[in-house]
Amino acid sequence: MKGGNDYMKGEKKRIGLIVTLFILLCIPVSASSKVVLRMIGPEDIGGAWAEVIRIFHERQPDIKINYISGPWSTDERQNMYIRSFLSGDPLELVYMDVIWTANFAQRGWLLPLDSWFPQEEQEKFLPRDIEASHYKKRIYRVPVRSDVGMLYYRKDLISEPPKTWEEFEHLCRRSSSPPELYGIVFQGMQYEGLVCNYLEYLWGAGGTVLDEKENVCLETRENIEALRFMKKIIEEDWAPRSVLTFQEQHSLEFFEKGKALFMRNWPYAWKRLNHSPLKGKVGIVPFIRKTGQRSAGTLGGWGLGIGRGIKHPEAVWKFIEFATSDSAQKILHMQRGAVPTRKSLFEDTDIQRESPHYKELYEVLLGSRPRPVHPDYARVSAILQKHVSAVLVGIERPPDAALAMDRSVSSYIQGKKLNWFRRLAVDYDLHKTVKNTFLFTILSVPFELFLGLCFALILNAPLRGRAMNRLSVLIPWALPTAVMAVAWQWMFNNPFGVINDVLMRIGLIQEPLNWLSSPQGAMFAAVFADIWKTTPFVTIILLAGLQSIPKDLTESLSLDGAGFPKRLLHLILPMLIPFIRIALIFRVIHAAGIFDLIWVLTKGGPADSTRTLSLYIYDLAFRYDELGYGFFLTSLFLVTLILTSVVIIKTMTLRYEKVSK
Amino acid sequence: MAEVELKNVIKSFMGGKITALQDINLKIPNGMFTSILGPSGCGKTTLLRLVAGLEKPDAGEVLIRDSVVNDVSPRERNIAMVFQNYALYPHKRVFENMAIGLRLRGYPEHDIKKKVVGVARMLKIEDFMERYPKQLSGGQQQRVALGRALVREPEVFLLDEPLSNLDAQVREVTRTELKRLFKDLQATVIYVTHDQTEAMMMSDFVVVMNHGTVKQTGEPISIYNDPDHRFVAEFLGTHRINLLHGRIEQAKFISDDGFIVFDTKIKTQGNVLAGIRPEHILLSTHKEIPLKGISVLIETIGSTHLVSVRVGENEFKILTAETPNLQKQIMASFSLHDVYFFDDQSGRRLRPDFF
Amino acid sequence: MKKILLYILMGLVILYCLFPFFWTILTALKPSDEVFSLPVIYLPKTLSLENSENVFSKRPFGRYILNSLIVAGGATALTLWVASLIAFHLRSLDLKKATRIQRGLLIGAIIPPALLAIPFFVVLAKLMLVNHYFGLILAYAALNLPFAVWMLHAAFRQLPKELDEAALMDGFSPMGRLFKIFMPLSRPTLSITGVLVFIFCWNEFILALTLMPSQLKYTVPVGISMLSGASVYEIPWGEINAAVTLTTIPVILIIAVLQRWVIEGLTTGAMKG
Repeated sequence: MKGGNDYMKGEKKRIGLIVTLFILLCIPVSASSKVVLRMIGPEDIGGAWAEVIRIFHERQPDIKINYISGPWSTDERQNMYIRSFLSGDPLELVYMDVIWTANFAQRGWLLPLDSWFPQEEQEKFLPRDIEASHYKKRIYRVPVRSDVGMLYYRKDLISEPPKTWEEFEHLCRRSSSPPELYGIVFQGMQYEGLVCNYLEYLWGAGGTVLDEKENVCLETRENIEALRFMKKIIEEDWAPRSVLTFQEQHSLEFFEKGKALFMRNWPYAWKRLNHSPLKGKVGIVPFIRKTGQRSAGTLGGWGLGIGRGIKHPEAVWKFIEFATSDSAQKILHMQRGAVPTRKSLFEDTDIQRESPHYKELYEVLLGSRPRPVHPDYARVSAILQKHVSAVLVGIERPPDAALAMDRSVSSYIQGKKLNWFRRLAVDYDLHKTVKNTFLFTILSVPFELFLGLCFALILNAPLRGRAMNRLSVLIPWALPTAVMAVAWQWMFNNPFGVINDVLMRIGLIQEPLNWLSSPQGAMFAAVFADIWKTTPFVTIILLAGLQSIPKDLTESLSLDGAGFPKRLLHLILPMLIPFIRIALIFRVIHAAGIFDLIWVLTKGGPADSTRTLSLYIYDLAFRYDELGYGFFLTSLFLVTLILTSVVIIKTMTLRYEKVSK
Repeated sequence: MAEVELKNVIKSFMGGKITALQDINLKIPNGMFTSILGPSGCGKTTLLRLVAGLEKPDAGEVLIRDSVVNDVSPRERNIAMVFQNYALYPHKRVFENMAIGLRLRGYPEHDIKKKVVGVARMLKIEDFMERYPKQLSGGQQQRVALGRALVREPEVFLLDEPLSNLDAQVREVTRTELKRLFKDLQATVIYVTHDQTEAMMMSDFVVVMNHGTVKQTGEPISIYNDPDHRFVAEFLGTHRINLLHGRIEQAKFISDDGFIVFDTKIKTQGNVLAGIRPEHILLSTHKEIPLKGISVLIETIGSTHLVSVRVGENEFKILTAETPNLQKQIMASFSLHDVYFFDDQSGRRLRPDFF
Repeated sequence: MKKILLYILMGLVILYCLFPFFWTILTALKPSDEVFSLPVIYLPKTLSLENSENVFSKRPFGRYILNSLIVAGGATALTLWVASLIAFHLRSLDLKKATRIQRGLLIGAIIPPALLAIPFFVVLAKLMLVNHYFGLILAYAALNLPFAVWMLHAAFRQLPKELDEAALMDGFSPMGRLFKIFMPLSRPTLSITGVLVFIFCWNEFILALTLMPSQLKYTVPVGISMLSGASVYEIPWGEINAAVTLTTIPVILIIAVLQRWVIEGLTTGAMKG
């Protein structure tokens, strides 16, 4: 009809107007003329940053620092920065981990600081930290706090701290008595922290990741030894199994409760331990090594840089200068336990009074090693995390892991040079995630259909309270998946989760299971949560199907003497086929594309055992900066899904349906 | 009030697959009640919708008051339409339903009120003004729909089978009322119906259509008495016309079975159909052409009867007030000037003065 | 006997469906020492609102709710508006053609959102709309449009054609027909579509995560998942559970009130393919 077109024409103007209005409303109106600088950091416990910022505001009233407290996870905060750079609205102040530097600098997201931060100024800082702030001979960040991995030990229980693996083993065998008192706690979850731990063993065994010419050297005896030793720590119960889910904070809390002899952690823990019942009972030493090798702690630490393409770099520099000054670092140290980066502060009397152990710490810092400086470090680290984690949870043998690490890292570095189609063949992560995706779909979808059918049959029975019942079935569907994934994470928690408790009370299991920290457990948990979440969808569809079956058909069949099973087989199921087909297509597509549930519940871990294709693609795009390849995989995935649906439609169409068309 | 005219109008649907109207030329006289009569699917509704502007002709012109309105939108044609299912706005009260057209045309509020109330009083629906359409009976809804059209005082009223959704009794009453109403208004009305009784009773002018063409136009009585086409003869009349297959040879009609033979004034030779209405056959021998047969079925319609008489291989229906007996010999007759001859192939009327 | 069995089964179904939700509420109401106690305490010994208060006072949870409301509300309004324009236009086409167009739209609708994150991000980054409410609103509207068009088109088709024509003759403009005739008469469908779209948007995760990366722009699901960070000890489970409860209760209330419609909408919505 003509009318529609006239109407559309007239409408265009109005649509345009409303769109403009919308956009205007969404752009935040900055009322003040102040320069606002944003930075993302972890939650500001102790208020150290707030204090530094307060003093800075007093001195520079025209500049406003907006400290956004991000999540604890460093990876997450890195993603937030990356997304801000990609989105064209870069955050002004880049508060970055030492390992981000090369990547950010290589991609041109940082301003070089050489003009503001000359050589003679750099010499006032710890040499390792300055070294790690460079990329291709230019400096991109000013270290604000240093960090190094080291060994905490219980002075009251151990007279002589261990220097070597052998001494450590000996002490664990003699003095630990799990589950009351374990040998060591460290960071065993699959994340960056695990690599920091692992590198200390690797270096302590004399190995390295990349040599000077950037060749991968992981298929080595040293690497296997390092992995074996780490695995031994878990297998011999020197460390509790739950370290596989530990980050720094968890190790610290475990150690603080007096449940371990040693702890591998960063310097910040010292301050907290000295305000705990363990006050005075804890000492620090460099991390253990193999006999005959040198000990090396992983260099961590945070620095401040300037985002490229922002409006007021001068103002940002003013803040950086202040935040890295003696006085600011002192505040960070006093209130947060941050390790200063200026050499002079290690001789500062206030600091020495507050932290008498800093003499020893200074030595450890001088012996620290930075992680491989490589623009694709994030991806290299992801590969290392995965395999170290796989060794620790026992799904990969150390020699296999060493081989896989070597292949994976070098195939990645080379794969980037291949074209996309050839890369499919060598992409180790792709193969693994496709397998997981398939497994997840195959496990969850049939159950959902079966359970959905049962529910629908029950709900279709003429009982009282049907409305209430339907409502309760709707609820899992209506709740946000990501949010309920958090709830499931809590329920699968070990030891506080309710699921273990219920199963133990019923007597199905003897001791709590590590749902989320074992590969099978995590996959089971993900599948279980997905079934819970999506069965209602299937139920509702099939219920509609059941209600579309004419009553007289059921009745006439009953009169013919068919019992329920026969009715199900000969009438109900055939009549439901179109509905089952729809439900199946929807479920297969969405199960294969699952993201939020797994992302929240397990993050794809442990050891990548639940990482699905969507997670991999997401990482490719937003973490490894390979939008193109990610997009390519997305398209292939889509085509596969469409083909799958076509196959489902073809195989599940009954003859009479075709005839009727 | 205005005259409506269609010139060479062609309309098809589904990209030409279905032809609804083929080359229509038609003049609908000013101020008259015109019925468009035909069986369903004959294109009568399409014709109405073309006049309304709801459809556009593929070719040809539609004229209202001598101006071409092909590109004039329905709202600007100054016409009003009453739909078969009334199409009342279910979410508006009766008053609003009637007033909305005026309101959208910017009439002042007191004018609207005056007009709506006036029409409502005329249609005797003034008590329902605050009701919703759902709360009304079919007949009442029909009046509201009519009222909505009347309030607008359009140049042409278009009525699309407005009585077909009413039950028989209400329909009869409404029929009379409608006729009176439009007579008083002197309005140009185009009334689409498939009910020949309605068309005969109500109209000043009838257009008979079939298969997308106009078969005959004229006053109801003249169409009835002087059909131009076999289709018109068959379609009009309460009782179906008797049709007799035969041929004419030298101005003599001979039925196929040879039983009936009589002289005609038709000069044409060949196969023909002879049509005689049941009411034109008498159960006596007073008329010139005799008919001898056996009564096989008697249907009683109130005071009259429809008698089926077998003559040779043909069966005739005869309308009579007498009560004949079944399976009896019947003597009947009819007169030549009551017989219509149609060409067997084209169905066109063959007239005696055609030489 | 058979009845009793059925009732028992029904009870089990309810328990299965509701248990995680109840457990969340129970955890939310416990003070933190009861949350982390072994053996697990089922019913809280003391009810405490400490967790819920913390969620608002310690974290910008109120802000997350506001973000979610802006985004979900904006997207719902935009979706309904655009969808009714499209549905109105589709209605004026003949049924076959309209169905074909609709099929095309619907193929897009079953793509899992995770696969759309990259394309959406690329496009919105080009338009400088990442981190803007409007960017996410646009993405959500695009995501929900096929569903909404489908629902509204079905509703519009149900209205008799004559009604539209009567309106045409009465002198309604096309806009007037849409807003004064079609929309009021399709109000039940409009509202149920609105509610469903709102719930979809309220629940959506990956696009919110990708397209609104800055913390002050988190929607509720993203905010909550970020609260969790990693696992076990450091995580404020009590507060998280309180946050989960606070987010889910409104959804459940809506569903409870509109149950029958939601089921209808969902099934018609799903049977569309």
